[in-house]
Amino acid sequence: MGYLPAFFHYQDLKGKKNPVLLDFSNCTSTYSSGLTIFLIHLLQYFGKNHVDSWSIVPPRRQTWSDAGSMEVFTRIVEAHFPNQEIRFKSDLDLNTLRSLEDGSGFTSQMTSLPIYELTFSQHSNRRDALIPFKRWLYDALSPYYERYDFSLTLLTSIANEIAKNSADHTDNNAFMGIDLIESKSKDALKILFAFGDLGLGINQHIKNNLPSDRINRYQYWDLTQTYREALSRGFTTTNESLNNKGIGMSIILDGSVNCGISLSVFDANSRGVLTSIESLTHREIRKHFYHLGRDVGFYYIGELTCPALPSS
Amino acid sequence: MTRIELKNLGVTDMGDLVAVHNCLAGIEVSQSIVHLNLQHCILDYPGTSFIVDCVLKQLSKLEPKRELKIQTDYYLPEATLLNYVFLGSEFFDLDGVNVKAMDLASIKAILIKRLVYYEISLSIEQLRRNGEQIAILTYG
Repeated sequence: MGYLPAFFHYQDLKGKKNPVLLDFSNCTSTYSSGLTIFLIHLLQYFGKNHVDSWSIVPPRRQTWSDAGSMEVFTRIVEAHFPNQEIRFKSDLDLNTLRSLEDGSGFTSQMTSLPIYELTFSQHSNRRDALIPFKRWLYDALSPYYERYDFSLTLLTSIANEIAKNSADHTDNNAFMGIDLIESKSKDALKILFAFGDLGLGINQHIKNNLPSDRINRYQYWDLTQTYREALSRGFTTTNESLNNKGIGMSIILDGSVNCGISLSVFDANSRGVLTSIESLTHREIRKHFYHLGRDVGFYYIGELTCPALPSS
Repeated sequence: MTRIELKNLGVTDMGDLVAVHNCLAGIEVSQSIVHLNLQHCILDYPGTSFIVDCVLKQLSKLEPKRELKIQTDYYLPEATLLNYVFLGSEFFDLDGVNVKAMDLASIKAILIKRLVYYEISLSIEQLRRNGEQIAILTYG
């Protein structure tokens, strides 16, 4: 489950006995970012269908970080489907570190951080979940910041602004997965992350919250129009307050461009390569959005390659 | 010159408003030239503006010539950076403002007007991690 996660075919499970088997045994790697997106699909789909029990089979060959990711994945499934039987078949070799090639010539060593669940629902003020989230992210990336050249604080801010949107505009929790892939010669680091939630996505959310002076234009508000508004400084669908000034998306976009992150948003049936957008015109936005042919939910995928710091 | 290293005051995340409020009492400006180092701190609004306001309010009471240099490792376009640093500021009357109504020229005009009134020159220095300057923005 790498950069583009597997999709599963939806079936109508109504009225049937529904044991679910998640068989990862043939996966050669389980990226945390890919698992995060798969998890979001799982929770969205099986949240609406009755499931009797779960069996989860991990990949046959696993690294230590794979094992951690699978364990956390299983625990999150358990927490979201309480009172259901979950069997985790584990036959792990935790002492093996392996090399992998991802097709770009990166012969590397990968560490996948276990999926982080932002538990907004456990806080009376949903944004209170952001403080431990930022601390987790900052602490997890700090050892790599000592060796590689990237902006740790700006990267944390970008993740924070993405998370703020989930806190403010959805009713559920959100999830982040990060993979850290070092080249074998340790001269470069690739940071791959996915962040998603169970909300409607930016496009539908904006259309559902059009101001009264624009509601009669609802049928004309397409994806390019909604993203043109979303990416404009000062646009917000909530009441403007001291904490919400509608500048989050501009920080996400400007910050990603200046950090060197390639950032895409997957929003229902579309993918937008946000960091390729050079100006907020309909034409430019339309150039960088692609139709996927199926509803994939809502998540961001980001990728950043950082050179090693010069050795002192 | 007064040097304020925010990290040394126990604040690395300006989204943590409890930590921000707790550190304000520890900010003392006794000289007219101030360097406020926000490197290695996670900026956020309005928390960053609370820190900057605390410094400016004290600075405005000292003898001229008054100078504040803010150092950050955030490399963002000017408009985005100014929003991040100053939104929520009481000193600049940006706590209740409608951001949508303000372009870069408007927000700069607000900053410069207040800084000129108090005879404060303000600069924001954007630095790489090796200390090399990427850009410097000056106002007032």
